[in-house]
Amino acid sequence: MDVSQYLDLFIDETREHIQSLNDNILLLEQEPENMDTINEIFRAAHSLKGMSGTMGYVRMQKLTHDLENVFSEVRSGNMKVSSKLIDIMFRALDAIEAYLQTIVDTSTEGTEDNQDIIDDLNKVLKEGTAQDKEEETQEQATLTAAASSGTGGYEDIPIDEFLRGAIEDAKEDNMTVFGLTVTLDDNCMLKGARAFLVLRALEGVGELMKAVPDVDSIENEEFENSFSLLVVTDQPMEAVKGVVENVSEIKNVRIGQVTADAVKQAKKEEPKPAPAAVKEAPQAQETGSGNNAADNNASAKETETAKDASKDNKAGHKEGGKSQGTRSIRVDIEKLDNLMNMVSELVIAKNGLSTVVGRLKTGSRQINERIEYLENITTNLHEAVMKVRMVPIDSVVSRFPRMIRDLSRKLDKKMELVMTGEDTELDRTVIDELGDPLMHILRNSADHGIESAQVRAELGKPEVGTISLNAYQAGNNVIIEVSDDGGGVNVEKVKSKALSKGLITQEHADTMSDDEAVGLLFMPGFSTADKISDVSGRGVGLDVVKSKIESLGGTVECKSALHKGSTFIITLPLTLAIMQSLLVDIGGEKYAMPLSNIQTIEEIPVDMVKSINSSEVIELRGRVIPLFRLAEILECEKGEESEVLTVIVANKGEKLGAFVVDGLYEQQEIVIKSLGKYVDAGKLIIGATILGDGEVSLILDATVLI
Amino acid sequence: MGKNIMICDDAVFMRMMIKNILTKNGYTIAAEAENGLKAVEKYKEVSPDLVLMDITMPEMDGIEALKRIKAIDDNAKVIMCSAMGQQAMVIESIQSGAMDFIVKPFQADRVIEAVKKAIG
Repeated sequence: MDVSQYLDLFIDETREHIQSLNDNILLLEQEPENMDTINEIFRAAHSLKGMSGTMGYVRMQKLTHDLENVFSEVRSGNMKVSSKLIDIMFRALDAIEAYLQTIVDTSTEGTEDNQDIIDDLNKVLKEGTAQDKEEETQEQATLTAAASSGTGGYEDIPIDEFLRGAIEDAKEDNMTVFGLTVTLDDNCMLKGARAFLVLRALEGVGELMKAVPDVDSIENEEFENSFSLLVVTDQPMEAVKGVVENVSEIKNVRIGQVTADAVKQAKKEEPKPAPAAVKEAPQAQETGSGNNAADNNASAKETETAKDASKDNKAGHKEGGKSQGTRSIRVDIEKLDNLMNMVSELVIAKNGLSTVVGRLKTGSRQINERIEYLENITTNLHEAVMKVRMVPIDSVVSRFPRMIRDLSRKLDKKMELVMTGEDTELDRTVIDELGDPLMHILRNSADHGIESAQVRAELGKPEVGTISLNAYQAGNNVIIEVSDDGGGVNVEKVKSKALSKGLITQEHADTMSDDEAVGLLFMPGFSTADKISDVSGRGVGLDVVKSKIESLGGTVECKSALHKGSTFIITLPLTLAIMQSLLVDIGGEKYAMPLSNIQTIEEIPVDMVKSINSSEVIELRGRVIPLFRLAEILECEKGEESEVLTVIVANKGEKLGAFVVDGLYEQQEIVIKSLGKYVDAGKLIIGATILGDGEVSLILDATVLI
Repeated sequence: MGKNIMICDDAVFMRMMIKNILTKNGYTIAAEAENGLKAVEKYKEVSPDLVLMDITMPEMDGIEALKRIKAIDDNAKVIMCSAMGQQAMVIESIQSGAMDFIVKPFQADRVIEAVKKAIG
């Protein structure tokens, strides 16, 4: 069967299962007794096994099968979850992920058997279930005997007095007794259930007198490939045979009438009951002690756990499941980009239309109403398209708990990661780029931030360090805070390091505030770790994080208190394509400023402007805010000096800046168009936009001046 | 006219697989359900000629769904989809009225054989 067409789906769904396994194993480490988690893990492993088997990835199937086996035991309470087991499970999970990666790259699963993991899994399984050993050995003995009894045909069925009486009664009632030997397909799976179907089918046409092995053993799969039956019926032989043959996966059915003569013969031959078992005993010793016994044993065990499993399942759905999949379709991101682009054009067209109508002055009320309606629709459409592109940051951060766990082991420090707001959504393009910087910051916190348990104890801190990741939406921005309760940044150390690297001058260092010093961490070529570990401090420092976040239109800053911990605050725009802006006049030209970081607009009398260290500042509600005259910075033609300055106060993280403009126009939704890489306007100008009247206006991100 | 079949499995992958096997052989897919609860609801809506029902599913497992469907329609034809190691559950489903079962990993001819035997 050609399965290549299912590959994409297989890959996507396998990824989901791997993630679910990852989350649940982590959870299990915290609560080893949590039955829901164990069930989830079992189910994920089970699905993976079925899917990889169907795709023909036998190695992956083998590994997931063994993983499922272990969990099957855990689920039925035969085994406890140990930290050793958790470790092996993570290794297995990594291996499965590696299979998936190979599959993604080459469409084959590769040749890695991961035999060591499989061996370890089985070892854990053996150790974990050791106490049940004795029981099993006993079981094995009875099974060996039972297994052998299925090999004879129906002619060998022992007939006791009771059966003989029944056969004679049947004859008097004009009924016939048929003997059947049913052989199942060689590759038939779940033989017990298959045989059970045969028994059910026969019950429809007659009555079962005798089965060898007995019905319970048949159900428990304690037979080779065939079993024999005596059936009393009023139907002809062909009908009985047909009923059985209609069951799937039957290799052949041998059927014959059983008469009183045959009974007598059987009686003469062997008067004692159960001769078949006795007769076959030597053969059983030859083969039965080897593979067969083991196979049967395994299947019996499987049956047992399966029974438990069905119990669990029943208990499960009463509580109501939690892991309900979201209904979704998968769309190529390019199509969404295209859609977004067209919505952008629509916004431009709408702006154009309303400008024209605005100029008419004779516009009737009706036109204005319709324009307003159109504005509503385009805004809603824009929001809807934006939402489609939004992805919860969960897809990025969900791998971090695992990473912190591994780091904790590697660094031999005790720490835990607490995350909130994983459902906060960001534009897909931002999400894709966010993983690395966040990982870097987290590694940084784990490596440099959190102290060893010993140091923490001396400082009177809880032994286990906490790293927290909080995400939330604030206006048009999403804030992600990563904080730790570790050592914090040693400002003096940072300064001397920066000095020794020639990044700052001595004079600069002396006058520097603590916040500024912390900011040095983000300078290129700065790394404070005394020794380079393989966790962080590979020379790529926080400056890479900073430039990455800035390329996404965001900002990152760090706040720190010595011995108390540090917090990294990342601010990101919700979307990169359309935003609300304030149109301002600077030197007679229209500029757009992002509305999201504008705090207030103030009128400041000229004489309120003070000068500190030869730079201009204003004092506003008790805060001293640096003042920037945008016209000068942009080298525009100077307008007339007025008595009162129009000042826009905007923030960058916690910092504020005051920007002098010559006038204000209006608030408008604008579409950001890139200037292309040939125009290096610096970070101050982040793009351009087309206004309603067709005029092009530059977009100013004045906050970079702060 | 093609017979209507409902597929119930929590894995989209499996549903897709079965769906393709069936449609290639001239059957029509009446509905798909991702758990037992949905299966029971949809059974009431579309009354399919046959249901292919996975056993291990969230919300409500296949056996419970089978029982409920049988309670609604005693003549309902249900084939269970199971994995190896679920013998006891398969037997329980047969006792509860399942016609047949197929074992994962699926082979197309096995699926068709079972479906043919059930509804022709």
